[in-house]
Amino acid sequence: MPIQIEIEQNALIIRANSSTLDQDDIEACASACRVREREQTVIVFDFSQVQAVTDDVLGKLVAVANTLAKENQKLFVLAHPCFANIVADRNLEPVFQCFIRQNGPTDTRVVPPPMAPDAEVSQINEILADAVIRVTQTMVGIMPRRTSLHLLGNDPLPRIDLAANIVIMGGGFKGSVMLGFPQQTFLNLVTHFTKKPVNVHDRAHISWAAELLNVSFGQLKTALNGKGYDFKPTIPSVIQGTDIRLLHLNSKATSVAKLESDAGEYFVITSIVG
Amino acid sequence: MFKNDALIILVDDMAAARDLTQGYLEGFGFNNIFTAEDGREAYDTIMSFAELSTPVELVISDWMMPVMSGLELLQKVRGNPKTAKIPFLMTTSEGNAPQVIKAIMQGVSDYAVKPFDSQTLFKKLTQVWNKTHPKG
Repeated sequence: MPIQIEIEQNALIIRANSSTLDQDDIEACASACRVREREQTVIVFDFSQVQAVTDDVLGKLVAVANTLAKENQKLFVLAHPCFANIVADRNLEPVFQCFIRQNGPTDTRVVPPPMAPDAEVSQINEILADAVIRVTQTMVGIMPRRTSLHLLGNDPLPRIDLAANIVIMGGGFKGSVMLGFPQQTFLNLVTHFTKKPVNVHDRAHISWAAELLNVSFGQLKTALNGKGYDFKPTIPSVIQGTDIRLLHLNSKATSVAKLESDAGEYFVITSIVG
Repeated sequence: MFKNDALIILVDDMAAARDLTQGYLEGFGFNNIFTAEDGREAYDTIMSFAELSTPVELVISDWMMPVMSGLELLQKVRGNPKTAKIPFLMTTSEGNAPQVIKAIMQGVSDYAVKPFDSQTLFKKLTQVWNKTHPKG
């Protein structure tokens, strides 16, 4: 069923289960709205899987939203980043009373299925590294680029002095994700973030590293959960020292992505054992 | 739109996230911002203002926090007649559908998935204002 209707408490949830919407899908949405019960005071269009929509279909969706607005009906639209971009490009966000943009990759890469250990750690780390790039750009205003992605193997990591870490829970995995910074890179990034020169970092600055990883990991979860993965929410921690060495007994289980930026280089590291 | 002296409670356990959002709000001209590190501290602050008859006009809260989460805070705010109508914007890195729907069911006014820039926050504030102060 491309359109699925659910009722939860006071909400009518209309979910599109495909990556595109057509005229029939919108008609199904409109029809469900028309026959809703009085006690369903909230309508949710869950378009979190919709990546493409034509202008004709979008026009019809706008008409549905306008009708609901005239009826003072609360409407929430949950939008996949690709769909959100289409709506934003046409300045249509204000049409929808509450338009929630998911953050995450806007490409249509094939996500590896869970429990395919060999390919998996590198692919997951690549998705995480791309998320870190986007989040760094939004939070800090600089655009890092990924210059390498490799299994840790026997190569030692370059110097890391501060690392934010999240233990992965759920989905049948054991592992962790980590952001590792050399001291000077971290100070440069915090200087960009706070827009003040920072020569010595404090507790608030350290929380920035945790937040950067936390938000990036949230994007990874959004990209993977629902595709057979089930990563649970966890809380990040930060390890601080001098020249921290990362060692893993299973060299094939750890992928390292190197990011380079105007602030210096830093590392996105994923370790997973299925 | 909210007035510049609107009483805003900003809740996040991460100092960096609080600083970033507070900077955006100050950039828009808001000058009456109180911060809290978790839901419990925020709720106590909200109730203190309610007792003083200077009600909080907007809550901006993270979801995942120790002591009391943003969702629990939302439930408490909505469950108290004195605070039930306060506009509540949830900001979180969790953007998956079941979680967003959970917040909607509890009466969240709007939901912003991190990271967001100042422009996105401004749009959200405008949407929340329009929704909670309908014309006519």
